[in-house]
Amino acid sequence: MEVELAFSGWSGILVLALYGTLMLGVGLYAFLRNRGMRESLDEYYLGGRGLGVMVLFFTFFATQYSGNTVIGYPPTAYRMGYQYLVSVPFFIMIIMVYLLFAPRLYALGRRFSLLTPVDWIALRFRSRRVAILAATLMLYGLANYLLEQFVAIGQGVAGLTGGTIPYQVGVIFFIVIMVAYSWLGGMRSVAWTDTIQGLALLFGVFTLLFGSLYYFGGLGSAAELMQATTPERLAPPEGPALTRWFSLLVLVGIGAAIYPHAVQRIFAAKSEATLKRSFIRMAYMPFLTAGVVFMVGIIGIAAFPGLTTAESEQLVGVMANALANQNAFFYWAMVLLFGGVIAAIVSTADSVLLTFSSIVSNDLYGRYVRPDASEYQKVLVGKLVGLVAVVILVIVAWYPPATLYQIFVLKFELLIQTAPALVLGLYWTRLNERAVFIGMLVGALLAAGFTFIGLRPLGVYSGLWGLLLNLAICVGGTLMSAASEEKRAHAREVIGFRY
Amino acid sequence: MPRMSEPVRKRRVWIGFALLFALINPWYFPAGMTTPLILGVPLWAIIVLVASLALSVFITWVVMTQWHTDSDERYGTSEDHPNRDGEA
Repeated sequence: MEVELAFSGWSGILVLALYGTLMLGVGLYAFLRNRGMRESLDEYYLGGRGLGVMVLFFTFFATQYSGNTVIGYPPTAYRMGYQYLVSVPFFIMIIMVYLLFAPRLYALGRRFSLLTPVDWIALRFRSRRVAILAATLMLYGLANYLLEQFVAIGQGVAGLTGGTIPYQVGVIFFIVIMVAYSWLGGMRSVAWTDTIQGLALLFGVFTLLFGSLYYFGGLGSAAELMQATTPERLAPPEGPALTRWFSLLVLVGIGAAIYPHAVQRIFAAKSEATLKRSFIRMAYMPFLTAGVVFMVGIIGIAAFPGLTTAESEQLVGVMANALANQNAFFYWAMVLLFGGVIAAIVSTADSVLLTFSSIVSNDLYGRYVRPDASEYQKVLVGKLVGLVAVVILVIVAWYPPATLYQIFVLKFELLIQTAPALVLGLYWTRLNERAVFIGMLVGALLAAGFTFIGLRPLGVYSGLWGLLLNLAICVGGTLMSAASEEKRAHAREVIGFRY
Repeated sequence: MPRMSEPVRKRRVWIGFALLFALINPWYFPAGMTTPLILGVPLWAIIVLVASLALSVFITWVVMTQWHTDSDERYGTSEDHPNRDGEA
């Protein structure tokens, strides 16, 4: 998403510096208000399970919608036309999938003080290998997710400041700020900064939309052009395009709902009522974000026709340049837009880093390495391991490996393999621990294998193939040999829902 | 103790989700068909958007009426965390 912005420079640096200062201020405020915080895992990683509707909503929002939504989606809409309209319903799918497990998982989170998704898996299956495999897949997926955000931060900063600030300096500046406010205030800082970052993002995309509508014309001229040149961009998808639409809905719906940092936000809600209200708001956000950036991409078809694939990747930058040249208002609005984009990337990265640290603190160090450690020590280990991971990822971002590049691409494909353990385990007491372990392992290997060799049978994504095999093994293995009566009694006891 | 209800155990929730999921996949338009434009937007896209909005409205209904556990009664809500994040 490297975007070249001719208009920016020192004003970009000013906005980024202001933004960094604001984030640090929030971290400091969170620290001063909650001095006892570092003592406990609950306080640090879940904000004391006290997030209210607004903050919870914005932290869900800013975690789910990244800078890529703003920079990457319009070019795709530009190239695919209305066939990319799927980007609106797939964000709604996430909430639909949440409703299939979040109500029960939230109640269990309160009852057992669950901190991470692995916490639940460990409680449910009482199996070291399942918990460690799930934690490993999550840490691996989260680390790659973080790496992708770092690269995006660097490119965003270099683009916004017109190269005045080089890529590397941009990455270091924001990582230092991000780690500082996360360490100062934990989940509270992250959620509060998410609120500011979410507002910046919303402001940016709406200004971009209104500016484009005003200066480049509406959807009508884009439709005329498509009708004349590429009518398939106006037609409903069919054949492989329809399969792609379908598998995106399923993959994004399930995958994004069970992202570990998304699941962890369920535990941070102050109450069930709070969580419910946040979900209702989230159900309408796709129209205001994905829908808006989709329209921007369509408007671009008429405004800047005939771009090649590589040129179209620059679409948002090209449109922003053109808008910024109109007048002072749009100049500053576009500077703020790209500030908002970088903010959105940082807000995704901070959530991922916090969840990464919590899995290390709680599920590896706290459960298996030193169960008797104090909560303070566990938090400290999580912070330090998180920092080491960040340093390693920055080095990787600096010197991208020439070979084995794909090991840094796997994210979704691996994270999604923890879904059967997480979700089926909530409802099915017969579910066999061994089948869960083998399913997760084989599903992850299949998904990784398909990704490496670039195989996508029937046009369905590799992660989904892995998940299908994983599910088949879980269900088949359990039907062949269900969990023992003692294990089922334990499962009934921890699930606790009786009707 | 209030009556417990989870969306996942309600048949009407599954039926609603299945129907709306079918509608947000544009498989039901004849192959090679071009639909008329309304304000520059193809009709089929508007139908998919309306179905998506219907899904959001249905989600709202499910959350408000089909989801109720006893966790707020058992574990309390804001009283236990007075003014922690500075909002009501």
